[in-house]
Amino acid sequence: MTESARPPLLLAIDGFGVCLPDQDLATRTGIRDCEMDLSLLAPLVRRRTSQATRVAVSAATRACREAGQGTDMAAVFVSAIGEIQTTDKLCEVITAADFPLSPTLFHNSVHNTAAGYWSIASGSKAPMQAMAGLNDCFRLGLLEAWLQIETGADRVLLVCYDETMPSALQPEYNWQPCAIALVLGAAPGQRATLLAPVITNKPADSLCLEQLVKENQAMVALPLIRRLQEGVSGSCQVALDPCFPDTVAELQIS
Amino acid sequence: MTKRQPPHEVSALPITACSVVTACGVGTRALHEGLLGTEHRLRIPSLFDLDFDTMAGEVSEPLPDLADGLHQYSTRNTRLTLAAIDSPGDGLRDAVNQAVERYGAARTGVVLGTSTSGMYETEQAYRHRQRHGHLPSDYVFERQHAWIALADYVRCELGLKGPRYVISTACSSGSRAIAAAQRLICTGLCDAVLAGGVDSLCRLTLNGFNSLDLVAKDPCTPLDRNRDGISIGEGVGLMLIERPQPEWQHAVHLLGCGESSDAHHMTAPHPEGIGAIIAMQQSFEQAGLKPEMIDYVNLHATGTRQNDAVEMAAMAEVFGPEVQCGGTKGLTGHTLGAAGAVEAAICWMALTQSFLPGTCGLRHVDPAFSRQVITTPRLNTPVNMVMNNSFGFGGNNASMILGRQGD
Repeated sequence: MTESARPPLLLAIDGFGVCLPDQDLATRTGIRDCEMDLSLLAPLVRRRTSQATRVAVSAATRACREAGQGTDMAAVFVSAIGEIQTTDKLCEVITAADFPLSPTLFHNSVHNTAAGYWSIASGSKAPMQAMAGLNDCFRLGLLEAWLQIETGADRVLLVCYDETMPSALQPEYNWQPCAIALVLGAAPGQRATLLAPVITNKPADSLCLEQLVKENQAMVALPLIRRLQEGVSGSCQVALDPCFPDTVAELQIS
Repeated sequence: MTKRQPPHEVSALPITACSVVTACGVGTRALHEGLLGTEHRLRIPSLFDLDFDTMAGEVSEPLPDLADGLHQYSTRNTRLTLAAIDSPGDGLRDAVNQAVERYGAARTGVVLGTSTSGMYETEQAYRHRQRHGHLPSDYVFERQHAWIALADYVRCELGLKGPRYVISTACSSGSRAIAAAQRLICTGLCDAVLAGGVDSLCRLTLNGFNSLDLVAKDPCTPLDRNRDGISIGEGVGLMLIERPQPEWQHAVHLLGCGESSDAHHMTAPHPEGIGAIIAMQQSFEQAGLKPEMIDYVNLHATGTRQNDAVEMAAMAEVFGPEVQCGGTKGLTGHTLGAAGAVEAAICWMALTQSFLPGTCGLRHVDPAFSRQVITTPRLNTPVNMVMNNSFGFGGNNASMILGRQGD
């Protein structure tokens, strides 16, 4: 690629976090510092929240701590299908006509549950976006975060997360709970900068995750997270979605 | 090191077509007729049985079938959407086709809000599984339950190729989809975006709100001193938003949006309405307007004791006592994920038809509130600037201002 054809600067990455509770998977993918971190949640909430909300809040907490800019920033939460375990439980209760429903389960089934608990836990009154992308989560979340920064937001916390799909509903989905979070700002960044995606004929590092990613969208950004964790200065190409290995973004680490 | 580029200016954007489906019927004309009267359109739900008494804003018209190639997307949600796309007299499909012709399919996006997607069909699929041991063969999780399916369906139905996404922030979803559409256009990523919200009645939401003791037995009476909860509705609000063009200079414009969080509680509003105040103030800031320039506020006004009291306290803080305001959920029911878009469409109608909607169901305004609450519709009133409020679970708030430019 020639210098003049370089893609435009996209976003600064000021902090990142990941939550991948399955240690075996973490080892296989070379991801570290990925345990649950529910230190910001009140104890009662901690016990009641879903797997999806717990991994999302964990990754968000770690990304904000790592960025060192507090938690008072807009956030974009994007997941494939949201609080699907809670929804599944409620559908079972409805089928059994076992009324009344649990009010806690009901309000914890809304798609913006993780975003809502994060706002309460972080104290941020900035807008909390909640999007559903099924097989197109990370890129849609990145798009919305970019739109918010381009229209004036200083920083945006992007959280991409999924929980295990109930097997009775979608037996072929073998999702592992996973969340990644990035504190994004206007490019260029002090620490790392992501350039706009381009199509190349040279597939980038995809962490050999193609198969896992097909099963779980929240893992799409793991190659990016691993590069950030490695922290080697210079630039490298990362696939933003290993299902499309020809589409890569350049990551510049200072 | 280079400095950041200055952010894109958020400018006023013309709304070039608008369509709705509500309990009043299909299309803006049916809703307009409802808004000119004082009779609610709520009824005992016919879609399923409930073990408690309530009235709902159910769409009773027969809904169109999706085209053959798209039948996998068929849900009550998408069929309501198709009814809005083809509602006679609203010309939404033609307007989208013209935008595609003008800008190209790749420059025309779709952003929709929903809190239910195909939940009604998922509930039926679970019932089928209970009886037969497996999900129905025509139930396609990815195309019926998944929230994104709504935007995928609309993109296929209208042949669009621009960015598409679905926002689900509970009862502010429709408003936040319109705000996202504004960003897609102002950053130059799209020239036109079909934005709005769609929600359909299902057992989960009706029983869920009932479990929180938020559902009224009788038709809801927002802002009334005797209000005792919400009536749930279903509906669609869609608007085509475009980048500014000279030919649209007299059209109603989206002038500004504000979005915020309460950071307080999952289901209860912040007691002083802090998030609501921030959202309203930000929409003024973005629009470059002052509160005294607003002719009417379509309140979120759900009809619960606490929500209405907090919203009116926030209104007093932002506007003082002198703004005309009202709520329309007594007519249509609370259409949840569609409400922000349905009520944006009501604001659009107030501006284009020069009237102010009444507050259906309101008999005695709560004495704690401003005396400017509109009870019965006001006809032949000049209307230039209006605000629309939507607040949802998770303390998720959105406010927007619609109006005419330079009037």
